[in-house]
Amino acid sequence: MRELYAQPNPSPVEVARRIAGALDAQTHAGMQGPAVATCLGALVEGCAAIERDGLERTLQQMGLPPEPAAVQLAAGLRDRAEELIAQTGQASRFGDLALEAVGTTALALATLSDSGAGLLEVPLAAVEVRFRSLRTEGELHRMAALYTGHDLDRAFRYFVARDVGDFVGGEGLPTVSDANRLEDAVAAHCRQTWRRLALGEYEPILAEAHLLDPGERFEVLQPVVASGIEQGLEQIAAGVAG
Amino acid sequence: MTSVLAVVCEPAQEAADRCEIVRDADTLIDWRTERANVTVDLSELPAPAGLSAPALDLLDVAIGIYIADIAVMRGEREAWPREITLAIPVREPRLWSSLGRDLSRLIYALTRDSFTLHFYAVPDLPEMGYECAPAPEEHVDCVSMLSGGLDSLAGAVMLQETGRRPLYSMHRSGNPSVLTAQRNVVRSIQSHWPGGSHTAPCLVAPSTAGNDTLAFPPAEQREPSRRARSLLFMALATVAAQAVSGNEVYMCENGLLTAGLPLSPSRAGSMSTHSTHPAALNLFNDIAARAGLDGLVVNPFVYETKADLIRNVLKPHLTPREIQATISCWAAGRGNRQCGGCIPCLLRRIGMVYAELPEEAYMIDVLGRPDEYVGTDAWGNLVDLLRHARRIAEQSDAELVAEQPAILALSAAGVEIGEIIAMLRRHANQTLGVVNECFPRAARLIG
Repeated sequence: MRELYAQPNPSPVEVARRIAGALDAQTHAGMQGPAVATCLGALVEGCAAIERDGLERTLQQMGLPPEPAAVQLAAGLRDRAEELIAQTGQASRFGDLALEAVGTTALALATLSDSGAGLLEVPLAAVEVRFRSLRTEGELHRMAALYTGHDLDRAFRYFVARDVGDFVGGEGLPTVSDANRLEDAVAAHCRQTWRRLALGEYEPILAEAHLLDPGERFEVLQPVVASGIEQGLEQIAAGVAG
Repeated sequence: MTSVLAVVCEPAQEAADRCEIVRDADTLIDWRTERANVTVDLSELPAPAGLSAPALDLLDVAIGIYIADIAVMRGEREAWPREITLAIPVREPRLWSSLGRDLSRLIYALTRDSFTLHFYAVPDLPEMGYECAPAPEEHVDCVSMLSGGLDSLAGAVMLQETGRRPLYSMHRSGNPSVLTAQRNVVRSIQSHWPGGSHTAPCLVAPSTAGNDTLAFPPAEQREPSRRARSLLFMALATVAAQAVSGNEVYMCENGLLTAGLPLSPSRAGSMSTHSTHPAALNLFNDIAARAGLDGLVVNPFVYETKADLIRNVLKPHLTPREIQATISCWAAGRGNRQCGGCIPCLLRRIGMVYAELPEEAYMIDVLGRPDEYVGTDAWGNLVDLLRHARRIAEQSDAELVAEQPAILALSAAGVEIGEIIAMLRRHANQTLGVVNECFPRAARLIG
């Protein structure tokens, strides 16, 4: 794996493929752990709250101002996920990364963009419509897929960042900007897995999960996360994600 | 695997009869009986009319958590977060049981560990207080924490220059280098603003010198990260605030470290310090208020970089020697100088150059001769610092938020995102500017 970083123009697809292929069972399990499911639960809960109360009131209940709506909602959902992880004693490294994914998923949903571009401008009403439609149109499984893609983005950034530093200044990554570009490209490639994830069968579970106590909710959502992560890792290992 | 610890304030068997967790505990924590394995010296903490039960409980809880944090080693990489069950005797178990969930949340915010807290009553505990000091003879109107570092000294300068009369809450370090720095900053403050302040140094530390002390992990098996320590510092300062006329408690830290943004994705969570994160301060303030304590912990430097503080706050009022008599290093005491390779040392050195202060001597010169340290922690720190700065400099505001979602946690805590981004951009410009101008070998890494 590490020799790729030393070669000129390392391929992000190949870097991701080799990392995915090298992950052991314990790491697979960690990536699907309770905190990762709890983070999905926070997103599901947020969608239900917006459908029920509207976005402005949901933000108000979170103690947040209405603007910029996308940022505030993403902040509130991340904060809620953090609260649930602390309450249920689910701290883990992959939970730390999933918390980041809650925020970026919410931004992406609010802006209808993979990367969250335009997140400071999108109006509250537009954000509300987008989150409401996830429930009314039966699209929660697509949200779960998007979340999985963002979680893989954060996880593979983590894997790359652990090792890449030693190679900065060498032929493959002469500067820190090269290292940043490689990390971004690997992350983007992994994030794109979301488009191919088949999670439709979980729509009923996702639609009802908000009714459960958070302590039970993560157990119901864990199969969704496990399926998404395993499908995503398979794609990445096969080099077909993006 | 869950580590089980229990604070006891009576012979262990009696405590075990009272609380099941004591019986199952891997480690007992005790600073009150003759078998004590922790030293607690609060003799200079002012408490003129004695401390209230909630104040005493807050101190006990904070001390217990601080010591538990030290007693359980973290693992590597994915094994970094810990699961800890901790039983603590308190005077008001109903109050603390109602606060337990928020305390766990606060500890999670600081440490990214799962703490399960149990509170139990001990009949004699209400009589067990601390020997504290009388009210300061000088008038004091606020409390400010003083660590021996640059940022808390900048806080002191800010307060003294604006006519405040602070009580400086200090946790006396067991590390001789840090202790010297703490004495240096107190001396500097007293020489510039004589009679304008009061100091209250306290000490909480494992202490296993006696033959009959309860077992405690030896020094090499203690956790060095100490992510929960700011809870102890906030508790000491807030209790001190009960004895002064104002209720502000200053915990001064530069914006970059306050924001807790990981310098690289591999440092997400508590691999990056959250000691003064606004969310942690909010949670602490809420808990203290619900325990009936006056005092509001605030950090006035959320939007300032370390270089800003050195140049704009410290340099106009203190001599370079006084400024540089502080200590920033995470490895302080392991050599006769600061290491030069940890993140605080790198930020300090860049800040000193930015403020046009004399260069200091460090154990290693990773900024000047980076290629000699490839593969070391110092190299990794430098690369991550430069990668982070470069990202900030290259990204739009929206890209910055989307790529560094830890910024969202600041927004949820009520911090102004635009101001934080402006601070981050200043930090990036200062860092890249200093490296490009003064450290050509490191500048080659920036590209």
